[in-house]
Amino acid sequence: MAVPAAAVVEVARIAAVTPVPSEDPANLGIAVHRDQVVPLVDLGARLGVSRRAGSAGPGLCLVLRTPEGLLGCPIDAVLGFSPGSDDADAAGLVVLDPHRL
Amino acid sequence: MTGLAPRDGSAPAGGPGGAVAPSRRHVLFRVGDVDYAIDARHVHRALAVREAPGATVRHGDRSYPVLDLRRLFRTGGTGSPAALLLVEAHGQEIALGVDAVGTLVSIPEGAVAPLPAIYRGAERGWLTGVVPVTGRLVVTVRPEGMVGGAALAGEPAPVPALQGGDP
Repeated sequence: MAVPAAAVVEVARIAAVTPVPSEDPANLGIAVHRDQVVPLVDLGARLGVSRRAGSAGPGLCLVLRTPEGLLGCPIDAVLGFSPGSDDADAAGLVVLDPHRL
Repeated sequence: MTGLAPRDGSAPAGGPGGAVAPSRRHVLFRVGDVDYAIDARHVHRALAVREAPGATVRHGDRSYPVLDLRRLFRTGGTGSPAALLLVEAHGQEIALGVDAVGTLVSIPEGAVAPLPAIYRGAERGWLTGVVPVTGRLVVTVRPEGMVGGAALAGEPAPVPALQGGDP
């Protein structure tokens, strides 16, 4: 997957997540990062994509800026940077729109 | 998006000119692995559960329908709740089944960050926001969304309108 760099606040390690009850199973909970409330969303669950087995990861999280505020998305790894969305498409990557998460 | 002031909820916040921000006392309780806070003005009493409560419990001259928050929040808790919070909101009373009841804390007004907008389901009728208290993130509850039978029947409570994007 790819996400517009302009929407990325940082890639961070989120230590503690409070699992707030939610009807949406993609909502993982809420964390506090740099004194900001960051809700966490499981991208796989939200997009219907299964993760690799054993890819739980050590807490790496993509912090995105969305119209509704910050959003954290746990990820397995950062692969790199692409100059433009056309290159991401050409590489067969799914380009995410943070406005729709 | 407003940030959180890392306060423990028990010390009033200082404002300009040394003015102290008003605080509200809340009762802390736990359901599953999460700590919650409810405005103490809504709480009549906390009771330890000695035997499994039925659909209602009587205390004094009042009868309280029981709402097990472990089931409402789907924490997977089994058996009886360890404690009941006898609560009143909008003139209606209810007993909230919880795993533990904690202490009273003072939470400054304005310290609670609104529930993020991605929480769009029935939970928005029960929960209002989050606030750090003694190093943990505590979720504030809205008892008005729990009384009146909707939550008891497993129906979504009327959801307050979203206030807008950034809190």
